Amino acid sequence: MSTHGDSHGLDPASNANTDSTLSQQPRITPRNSDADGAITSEAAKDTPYGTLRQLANLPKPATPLRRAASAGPPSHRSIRRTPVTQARTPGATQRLGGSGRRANVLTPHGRAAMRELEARRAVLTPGKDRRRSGRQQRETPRDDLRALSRLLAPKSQPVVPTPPGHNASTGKFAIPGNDDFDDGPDLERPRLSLPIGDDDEDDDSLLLPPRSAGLEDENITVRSIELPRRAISEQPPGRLSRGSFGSIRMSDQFADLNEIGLDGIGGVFDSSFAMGGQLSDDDVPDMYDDFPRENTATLRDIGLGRGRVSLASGRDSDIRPAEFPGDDTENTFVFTVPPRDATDPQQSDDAAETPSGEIGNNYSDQEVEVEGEDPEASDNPMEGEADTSIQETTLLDIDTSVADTHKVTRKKRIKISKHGIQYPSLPPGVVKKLATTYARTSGNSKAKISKDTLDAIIQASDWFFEQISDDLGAYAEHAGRKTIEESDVLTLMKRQRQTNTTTTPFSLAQKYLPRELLQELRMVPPSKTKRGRQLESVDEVDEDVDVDE
Amino acid sequence: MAGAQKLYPRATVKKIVKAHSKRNVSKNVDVLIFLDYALFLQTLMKEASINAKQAGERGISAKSVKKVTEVSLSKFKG
Repeated sequence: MSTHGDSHGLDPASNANTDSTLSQQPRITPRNSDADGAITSEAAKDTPYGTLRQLANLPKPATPLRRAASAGPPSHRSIRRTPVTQARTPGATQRLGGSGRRANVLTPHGRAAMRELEARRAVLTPGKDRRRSGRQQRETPRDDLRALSRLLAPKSQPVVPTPPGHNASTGKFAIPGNDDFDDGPDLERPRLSLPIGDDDEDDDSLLLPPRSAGLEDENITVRSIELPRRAISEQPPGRLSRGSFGSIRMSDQFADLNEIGLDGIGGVFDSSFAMGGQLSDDDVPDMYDDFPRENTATLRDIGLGRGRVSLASGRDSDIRPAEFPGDDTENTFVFTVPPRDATDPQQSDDAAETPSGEIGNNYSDQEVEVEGEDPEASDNPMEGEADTSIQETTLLDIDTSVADTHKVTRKKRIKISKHGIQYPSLPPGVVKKLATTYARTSGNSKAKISKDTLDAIIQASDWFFEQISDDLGAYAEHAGRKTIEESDVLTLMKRQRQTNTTTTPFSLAQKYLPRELLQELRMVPPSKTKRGRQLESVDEVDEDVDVDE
Repeated sequence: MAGAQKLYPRATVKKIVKAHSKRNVSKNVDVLIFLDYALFLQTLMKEASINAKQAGERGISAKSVKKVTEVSLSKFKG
């Protein structure tokens, strides 16, 4: 302002000076001694025309004066608007960078390129965010906290985490009154369980899978539950004798223990068992008075009792002379009774040859089986021993072979259900014919069914009949009936998924049953009029049959 | 009419079922039971022949029948 005032003041002064110089020239005051005044005075000194020109030219040098009077750096717009000054002041252009040069690029392509460049620069410049005002950064709460920490740092102590073991005592009891520290142990308590320390071992012991003591090895007898044994009269002579699929139990194979385990155990058991049996044998009449069947005094019944009571009594026949010399119990050698060996084969022979009583048969099978296996079991100790025993074993072998054939034939004839009722199985011829037919239809065109295969099929058939009979009985019982009716079988077939909406039992019947049986089936409908579907299907069957006929 | 052309022993079937279930069997049930048995036997033979073919046997051996017996029986569980 002052300069402005000066300039304004200068002009009238200069005018006054010119006026005064026109009047009195040499008067140059120090007040007018600045450059303009000197120039004007000198110019005014030349000619009035020059003075006038200077006056006219005054605005021109006043441009920098006006710029100085604007009290600030020159605005960019003004500089851009005046390329002349811009060109004249290279520093300004350098300071402004590309923005100053942009005004020079006038073609639209150039402008687009410039814009592109600007955008790229805006993106790529790493420090484009740098020039923010530092105020926000300076006044974050973090800074406050840091300042606070700087203030507090000399006074505070670093927190030492207490070891987990002592936490309860220090936290709870040492500082009971301090409210600030009451939160401490509460917050640290999860720490106690988390670190894998002492508690982990306990957890591991808890999480251990239960170790079964004896079940790792494949011993079947550990897993099996000992079920009540059947009487010898029902006991199977062979493995698959009784029909049931599920009724083959370990406890039924009681007498077969010779095969399973005792061979490998050694002579001690055999000898002791044999000794026990022998003792019981030799004291025969007195000992067997104690048995359940007391009054049966015949030799056969004694044998039966022996077979039933224990393995030992069944085994004792011919081991005896062979084994006892090698054992500690030498006094038992006294008891070796040749007559017993003599009587035993006789007995079995008798029993095997006379098919009289069932009990006798069973007993003989049992006895002969056991005796036939014993020689092989006790082969090794027998080697150096008496030849008579070997002869006896050969004899016994013959006997067992005879008895085996006998047994097989008997097994096929008589089978007893779990209700104690004997039942036959289907005749093999029928089964074979059916099986051959179905094997042929299932692709095996020239299927020859061997004897073994037929046996297996018959076995499966027996199991099948037992299974469906159980089911049918259950259905009838559920319906409160004492009789198995057609509806039970229909339910069974439905549950077997043999019949559904598309295949009715009667279409199946027509497919699988011979004509005569279909005629029997035709008598079914009067009792089955309750359900419409079955009536319809029956009608269909009738129509079909009529068409066929 | 792929099934059996011959009559089966009806009394035998009746006896079998009666012995196993300890119940009376009404008059014509055995026909249906025999029908079921025929279905079972067909399934059994089919499975057995498949098993025999997989094992590379000619014909059907007892072993393959025994192998498929359990499966077939479980299929016919009511």
